[in-house]
Amino acid sequence: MQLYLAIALGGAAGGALRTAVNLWLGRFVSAEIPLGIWVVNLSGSLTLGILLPLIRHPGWLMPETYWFLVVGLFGSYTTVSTFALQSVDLLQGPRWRTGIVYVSASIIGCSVAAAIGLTLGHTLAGWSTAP
Amino acid sequence: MIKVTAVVALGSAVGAVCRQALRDLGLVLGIEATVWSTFSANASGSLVIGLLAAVTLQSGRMPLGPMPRQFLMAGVCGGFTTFSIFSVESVQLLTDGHQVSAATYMLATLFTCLAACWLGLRVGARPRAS
Repeated sequence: MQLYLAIALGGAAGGALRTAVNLWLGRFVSAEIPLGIWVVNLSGSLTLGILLPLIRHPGWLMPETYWFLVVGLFGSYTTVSTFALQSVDLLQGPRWRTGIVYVSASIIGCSVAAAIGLTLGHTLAGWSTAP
Repeated sequence: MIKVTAVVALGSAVGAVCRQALRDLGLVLGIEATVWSTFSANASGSLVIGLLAAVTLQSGRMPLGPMPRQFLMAGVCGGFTTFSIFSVESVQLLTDGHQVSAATYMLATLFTCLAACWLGLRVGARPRAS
């Protein structure tokens, strides 16, 4: 039960953060360019990558933070459903080229961000055990 | 701006809890691999957001105002699906030496979620049978 409460709290924080970032970045580009959600997914993948090795590493963060941070906050901060809706909208219309760029930049960008994040996280976790 | 953020936060809390419930259901059924629960959440969430986007339009079968739409779509569906866990899982499959599984997981997620969303939009936009 406590586990679900931690996930709900993290989920709410993640959703609020996603909306804030998305609305803020939306001021700088036209409505047809889904920059906000792209930045959200990219930054979320990078940060989750850094965080996971640290959470799994003893002595860094309490294991309980996994439910709040990983499943709740970052799980909910990033989104596939809105990404899919935006992509399908773009790909079906005259701006299909933007759609292709958006889909590729999301899938490639987020994988690279996650890989960089995991590398950083493992390095940080490694330092804590170094003599 | 504050109102929409609060509405999405509330919906995302529901979505995140449902995502974990789906994972727990998988564990009860004996499915250990987390990629399956992430994949099912992302695929079904994409289908549902497509359905909702079409059905809750002002011209749709169940018109809703902007705030309930934000609650259900950006909130519940947004919180239920996750890009970060998906990309971290893909990279971990790759670095663990499962290149084929990693590539399959990424391509399957991409195509299934886009197709599911498209299907949801199509089915949702279908006029009511009278």
